[in-house]
Amino acid sequence: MSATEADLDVSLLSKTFPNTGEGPAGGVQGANFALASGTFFTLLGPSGCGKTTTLRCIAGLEQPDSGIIRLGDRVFFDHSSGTNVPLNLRNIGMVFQSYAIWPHMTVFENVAFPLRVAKDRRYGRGEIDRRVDEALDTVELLALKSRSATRLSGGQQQRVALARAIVRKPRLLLLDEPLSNLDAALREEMRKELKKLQAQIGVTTVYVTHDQAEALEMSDHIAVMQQGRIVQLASPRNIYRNPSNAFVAGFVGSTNWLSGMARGDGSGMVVNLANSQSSIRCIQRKVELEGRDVLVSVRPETITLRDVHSTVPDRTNRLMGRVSFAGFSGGSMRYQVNSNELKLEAYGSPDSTWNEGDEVCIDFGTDAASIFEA
Amino acid sequence: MSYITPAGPRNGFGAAFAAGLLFALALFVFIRNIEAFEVPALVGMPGRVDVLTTELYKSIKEVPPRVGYASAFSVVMLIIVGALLFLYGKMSKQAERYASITGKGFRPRPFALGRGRWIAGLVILVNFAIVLALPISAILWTSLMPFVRPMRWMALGTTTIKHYEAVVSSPYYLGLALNTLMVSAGTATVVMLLALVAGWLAARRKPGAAIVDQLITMPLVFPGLVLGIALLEIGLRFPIPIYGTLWLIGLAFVIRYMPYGMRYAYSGVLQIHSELEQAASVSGANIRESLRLIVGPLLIPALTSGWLFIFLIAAKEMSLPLLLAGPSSQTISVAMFDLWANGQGGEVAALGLMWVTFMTIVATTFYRIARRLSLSSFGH
Repeated sequence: MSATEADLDVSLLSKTFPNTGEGPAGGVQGANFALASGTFFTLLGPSGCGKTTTLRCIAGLEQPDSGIIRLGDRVFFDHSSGTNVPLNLRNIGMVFQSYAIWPHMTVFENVAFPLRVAKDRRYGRGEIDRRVDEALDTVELLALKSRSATRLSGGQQQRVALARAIVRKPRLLLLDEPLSNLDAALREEMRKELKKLQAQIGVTTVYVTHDQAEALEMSDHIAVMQQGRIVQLASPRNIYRNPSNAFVAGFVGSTNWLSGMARGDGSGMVVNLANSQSSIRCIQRKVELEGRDVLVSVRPETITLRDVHSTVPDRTNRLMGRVSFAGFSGGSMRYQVNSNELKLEAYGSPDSTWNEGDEVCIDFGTDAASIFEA
Repeated sequence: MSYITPAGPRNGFGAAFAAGLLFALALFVFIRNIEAFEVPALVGMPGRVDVLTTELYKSIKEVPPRVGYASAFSVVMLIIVGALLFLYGKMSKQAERYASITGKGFRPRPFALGRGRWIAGLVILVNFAIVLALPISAILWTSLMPFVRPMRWMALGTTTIKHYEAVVSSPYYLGLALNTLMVSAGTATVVMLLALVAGWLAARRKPGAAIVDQLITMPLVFPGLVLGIALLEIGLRFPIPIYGTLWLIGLAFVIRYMPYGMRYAYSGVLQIHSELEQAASVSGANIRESLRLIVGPLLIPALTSGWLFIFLIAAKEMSLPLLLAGPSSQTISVAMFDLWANGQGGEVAALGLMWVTFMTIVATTFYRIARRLSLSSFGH
């Protein structure tokens, strides 16, 4: 995708805060991304990684130190030319973490507000009615139109916030951890709905979250951020399967870490595990890591436990171990297996019947092991 | 990680904390007393007991007024009070520093007083008697007697309502009441509107907010009488003829009560989640629309309590109108002072009692209405 056909284009965006000594400063350094129209894009990372700062810079709630922010052919911010469109003229929809529903207004008034204060054009009474109804219908809240905003549940407030954000049919929708204040069951439900709704209205969306499950499930593209920098920008599948560094591998999904010494071997690599006679193969080849201490990531669901007398399948690593914990969690079995001094987490089918103390083979594919600098 | 146990009253830390706090409090009362004018004027002046404030007052009321002398005196007083307030600020900040490490044992724990309960009960009763019951019954007595006389059973026979009749039948007092209500209500309204903007600037740390906050808080240093003398001189030299009008009194009130209005608005804005405003801006609202449509309505509870507070203290303020009122801009408190100085104690008492009753009704009604309004708009 070239920058010219991108809908939202952020380049070399930087914003640093004077460090006040209270927790992470949370700035952003040199962020670059370009999104095609209709993309669901997620900024993912731990608190203080700069994801919210990036979002607030796009919204205009923060003024960047440098960089360019462009939506379509409109330049919102350009440090070099001194352009900075005031936030109330950017015509962006935004949902805040606290929902920010105005408590002194009804649901209708909350949603109508952006139309009433719009600066680019005037909306007549009839059009306001029609547009608000349409937005409330989209979030399935039409029935509560005249209710006072204080008499809404968390989930309903969230929908009002969403309706308010889309009522002007903005070209860009910004979502700042909108699901973090909901309880677990509702959160799962809203994930689906939010994603469906976004696809339905086709608005380019930037979503900020620290929840990797949310990010993986909802996004077209994810940017993983760490200490103010984007460390990987890719599709959810790619982020999960080919994390660009140990931080991403550890942050997105859970994983087992094995340490050892790497050497090249044919088209792949072999790692001699520390504190163990065993070694594992990996089809990845990272020449720069040969002869060095490395960390190997193996995801729990890629591990298969097999009988000690079974034969080793092709392209599979095998460690010998003993089950130290077996727990049934409904959809799957969770095991902990010990191999020498290694403790590995493994998921099995809910019908698997290994018990604590069983001797097992710990098998995982040579393509399931990712090697990173230690 | 360190654990802090709440300090009990018996250990040394608690005692040091209490002593610091008590000293700060004592200093505060001392400052207020230096500035006090009403009590020394009413009780002290007739007996020729003069203090700083009464001397100041007398010098300005002499014919011809000794304005230079009064101004010099004012500056001296300002310096004294300013220095003491600075000291107080430092001390109370220190006391707060102690207070902030009370940990989580903050919730008040009721405890049995045992035999001490009788003493505690007595202290509360005596306090009530001295602070409220005694003065009111004395005023009631005076208002019902034909002339000022001590409380005796035999005097009961001379009970009269002629003072009440005098107050009610005179259109003069009605005019005063209207003046007082107008200037107090006007002041409260202007102060709270200004405070809305200033408090918002300060609470949201907008550029220049620190200076605005400092400027608005400054009048706290001025004793009422000193501010009055300053405004008297301004009024005399002002290009628009506001000298001797209610406008000048209103201006003085606005300056004097801005700090209070500011505190109400400031803490009110702090209660409003800043995302509520940001949501308005992202929605397209400019600053004026945000203030008018979001911050203003959400601040109504804070603004109304501030309004009522300022309305009530302005209505009873004496030192400023005493210096600034012209013949047509008298207020109730000025009239009471004059009546008292003329020896018409009975009428002062009748007027005072009726005024207190009236203001109590106004305040209660206002409070009820405001509460109902905020209930209907916020639903909780």
